[in-house]
Amino acid sequence: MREILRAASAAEAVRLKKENPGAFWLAGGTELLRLGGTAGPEAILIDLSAALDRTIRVEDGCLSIGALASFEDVVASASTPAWLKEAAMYMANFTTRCQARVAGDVCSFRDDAYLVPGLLAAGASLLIEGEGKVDLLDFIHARRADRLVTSILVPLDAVVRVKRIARSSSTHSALNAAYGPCGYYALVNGTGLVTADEVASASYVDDLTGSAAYKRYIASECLSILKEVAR
Amino acid sequence: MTEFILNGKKTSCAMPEDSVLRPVLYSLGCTSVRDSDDGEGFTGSDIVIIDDEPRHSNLTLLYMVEGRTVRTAESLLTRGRINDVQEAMIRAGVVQSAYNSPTVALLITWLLEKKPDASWDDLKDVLSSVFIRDAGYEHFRLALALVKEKRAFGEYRTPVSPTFRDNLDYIGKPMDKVDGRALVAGEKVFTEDKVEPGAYVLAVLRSPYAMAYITSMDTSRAEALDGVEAVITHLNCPDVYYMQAGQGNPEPSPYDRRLFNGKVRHVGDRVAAVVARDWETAHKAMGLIEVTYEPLDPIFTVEEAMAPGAPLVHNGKVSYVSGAPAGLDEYNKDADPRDGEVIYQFPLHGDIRHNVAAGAHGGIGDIEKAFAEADAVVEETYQTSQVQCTPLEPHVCYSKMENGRLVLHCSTQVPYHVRRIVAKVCGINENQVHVIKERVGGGYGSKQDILVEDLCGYATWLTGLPIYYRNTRAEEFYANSTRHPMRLTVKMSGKKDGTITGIYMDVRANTGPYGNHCLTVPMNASSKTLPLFAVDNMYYDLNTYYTNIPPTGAYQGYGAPKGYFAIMSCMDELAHKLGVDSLDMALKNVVDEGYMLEILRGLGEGREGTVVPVGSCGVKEALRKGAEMIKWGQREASPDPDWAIGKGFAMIQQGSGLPGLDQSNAQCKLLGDGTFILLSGGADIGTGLDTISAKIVCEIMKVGPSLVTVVSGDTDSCLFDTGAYASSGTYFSGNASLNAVKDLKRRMIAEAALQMDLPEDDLELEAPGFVVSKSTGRRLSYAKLSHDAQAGDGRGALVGTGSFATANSAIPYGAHFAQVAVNKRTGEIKVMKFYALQDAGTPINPEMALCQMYGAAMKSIGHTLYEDMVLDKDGRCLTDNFTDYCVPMIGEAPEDFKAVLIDVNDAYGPFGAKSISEIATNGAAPAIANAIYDAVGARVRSWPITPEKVLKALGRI
Repeated sequence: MREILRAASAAEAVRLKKENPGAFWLAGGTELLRLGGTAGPEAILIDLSAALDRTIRVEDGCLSIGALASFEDVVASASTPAWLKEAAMYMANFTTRCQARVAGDVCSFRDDAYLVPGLLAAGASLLIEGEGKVDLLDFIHARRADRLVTSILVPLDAVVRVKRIARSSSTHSALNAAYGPCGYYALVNGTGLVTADEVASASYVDDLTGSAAYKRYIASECLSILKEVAR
Repeated sequence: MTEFILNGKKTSCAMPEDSVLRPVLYSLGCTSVRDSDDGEGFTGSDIVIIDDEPRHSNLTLLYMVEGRTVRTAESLLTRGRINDVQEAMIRAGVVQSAYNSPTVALLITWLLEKKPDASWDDLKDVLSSVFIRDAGYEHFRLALALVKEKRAFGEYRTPVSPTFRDNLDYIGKPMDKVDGRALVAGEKVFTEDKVEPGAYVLAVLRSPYAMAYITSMDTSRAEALDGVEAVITHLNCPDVYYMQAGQGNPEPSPYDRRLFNGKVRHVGDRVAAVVARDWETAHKAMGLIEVTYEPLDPIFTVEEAMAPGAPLVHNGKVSYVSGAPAGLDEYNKDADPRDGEVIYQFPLHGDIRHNVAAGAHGGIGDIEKAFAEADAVVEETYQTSQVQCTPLEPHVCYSKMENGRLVLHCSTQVPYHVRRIVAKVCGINENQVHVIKERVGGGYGSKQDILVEDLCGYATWLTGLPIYYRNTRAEEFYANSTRHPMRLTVKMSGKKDGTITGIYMDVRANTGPYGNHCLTVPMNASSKTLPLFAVDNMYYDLNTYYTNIPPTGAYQGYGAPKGYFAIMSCMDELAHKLGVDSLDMALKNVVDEGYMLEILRGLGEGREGTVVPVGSCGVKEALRKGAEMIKWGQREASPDPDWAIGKGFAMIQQGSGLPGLDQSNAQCKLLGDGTFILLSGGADIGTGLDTISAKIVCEIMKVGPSLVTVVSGDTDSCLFDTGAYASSGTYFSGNASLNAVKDLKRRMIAEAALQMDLPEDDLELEAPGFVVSKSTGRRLSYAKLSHDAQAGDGRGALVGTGSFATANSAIPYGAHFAQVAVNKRTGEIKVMKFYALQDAGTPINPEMALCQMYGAAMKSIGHTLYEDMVLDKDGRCLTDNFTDYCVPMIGEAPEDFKAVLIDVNDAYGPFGAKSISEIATNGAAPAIANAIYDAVGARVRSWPITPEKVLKALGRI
């Protein structure tokens, strides 16, 4: 049986995680509980519903998105820039969009994360409990599961173009890319994060989403397309 | 204890707080909340509303609803009455197999609460949460309109479909599906709902190898585990060879398996079954079974199977029930007893020593002369992949003993084949088996095969225990039936004027580890395509090969979608080579009414076929009308230079059952109060067959539907029917119902003549339930007629019996048109327009027929562009969930999607009806492939046509 620990605050959530290093933070549940769950039947789950919030507001030229905001909250907010809505809508399933939390997408470190390329291209940063403001790119590179994101900060003046390449609306993407003031970022299935400078040299792999040659091609072609659109 | 508000009532639940919410809700009586994806959050069968937001209950733990409000579809009912959204869904025809219809109704109701003026775009967004395989998504737009109209005006104003046959009251008119309310309300109508407390479970240990001999097995530790009742393996199962395809007896498939075999032939093949008191115990026991394998080199493709010296999937003794060829002893001299046996009911041109499970060859005319004298010849090879039916309700069975008899609650298309095969496996007589077909939450062919009932039934017969079995979604992919992958080479020749002079098809099919439908499905690649062409010289060769891929079997369309992909693509290629418009070529070479189908002689299923003329035929009208709709010949300009637009089409046909092979039976009873019960052997699998039977009673007896009840698919109470496959339902089961009702009418008139002392020819039936004298106007109510007939001095209850078997075909025809946009830089493909035009004779349920056309076309679009079962080098299926497998959702639906019924009246179908849905799987692949070529000049000859393949064809990668 799984043990449920209820965190009343972000600080308590971090404390519980330190006390239980193998525990999982649980918010929306669409990732952790999917297909039987990443967490096993004996896992310890730290519930975050009372520890974090889902508020979306404009603050100091940034869109501040509470970690528990759902994808649908992002889509529905009048303050959300169009490119970010488009990226959030890449999660095609409406109910999943209502249930999945944006911070979960950022913290999953998945190759087919929906929002990450756009946020990177925009120069987004994160508020992390106990640390303060952290650059998203640094967070992604660090790939640490013990850091609790409390908010995502998105510069509102960033003009970003996004493009997702997948065989269908509801399957994993071969590539999810964005181009903005901070450059070109593509999440490529099996490879991970690729920047404009790495498109040619990155190591690509054959998998269900396509061959290595295909992914190399579209990583490059999407860079051209997004640059053209940006112009 | 977790406390929450469930459908407005305070609820306390003592289950563990980490319990998954869905089964908790089901146990609390919310049977509308179902599971189609094992917690993938994909199909929407599990959706509930928590604190006014949609949630996947499979991805929610019980503790998460503490103090919150939870709504399920049960909340939509008011004193048992469904709400206006549910009513509109039934009226629109979208409640078909309906496994997730209740949750869809909940979502739409929720949407309209939030936004009473919700648009189609709003609804499309919400429907992105649900996978609809049977009816497509288009008529949800209609359902939304109907709800709004009812709320605004108190009535529906939008016609739900065209109507047919003005002289008839019920046939050809929309009418609420007879089981629609129970289905959309989420009542206990599926097999899983029949499982009683205390039932045991069955779990199957499966092979990790694609091919291996089991050299030793020790089940003692598993059997010793507390709670384990039985472990069944190849060492203790019945020594009975059979096959799992539900086909007419004698079957055109070899008996090449037992319940368990000493040689496993695919990853996921059965190794052992455990009967235990619960899932946890069963899975623990499976972990205690010790198996030693001798792995063998597997083969996965037709090419590997054909190769000289290829490993043999079956190398046992071959025998024939009839027609054994000479030299069989010599053929068997090197048979390996570890491989078991292969028993053919009659010769199928099989040669297992070369991995050939079946073959067929035939044709008309002089094909070589035709090629030699042609102005152009095209020869190309087309490849189709392995795709899965993906019914929302997986394969399930609940079996139990009752008064010494084996009772099976099944989700099946073939209850009588289930009875026969389970009896054979158990070694008992058919009268000892009672099969009850419950509502079927999607079949699409896969439930034509007896994939779980054989084992579940035997386990109950062995142990005497009530046992529930349910496939996981992953098992649906790797241990279930799928579409046979095929390699089809088509050679087609023509004259400069567009006349096709010769067609040759070389079909190489991959049947996988066992020979389910190894002849019949691949045969359809030729037998449902060549008869569409008025061509004098046509020949085909078919060979079906054993390999070690996951099992294949029936899937809607059988081999026809693959045959059409090849033959209509090839025709398009020939037209381009000759410089002829492909639509002109189609119209010039397609059959028409009265054309004698000589090709049928060589296209029987293992026996000589019957030559008949083309009957009612709407194919030319479909072609012309479709061309007009899509503006054939007009080049569409793309506003974006990266995208190019193209158009394509395919003409298509299917069949209506199997004339000469199928038979259906029905009975109709007049009850004492003047109402009717029709007992149909036919299996309604969600497509509205019971509604067809009810309408037939209404039409002939001139009564309303509230006076008619249909009972079907119960092998104890209903008469034999071959089952719901090969598009037989309307034509065969419908005609049997019609004959039964006509027989009852004849008996009612005869009885009324005696009771009224009038001649029979003076009497007729009159609404709403009277026998009336034409000469005197005297009336006798059905109630009095029946009451007196079955009184103590009466002449007996009034019952009509009808049977239907025929040599006549009622072939549905059609044409599908596609307009696509292709991105030249990324290979992305958008289906902008898809028009499905079909001749279904008289569509008895026109609104449901349209939905089935949309649903089948979506399946076809699915295998054309998205769906693909991928195996690794060892034969493990990498795509054993919906996300990886890539089924089409509403996001993949064509932007402009239309289904059109071409009005023709068939001579043999009931009230002129023919089949409808299966044919609609045939058109998309060639229509879209041809449209892609038209757009960018890229000819992709294998499905799925992915962006990567388009880019390769364009030379970009």
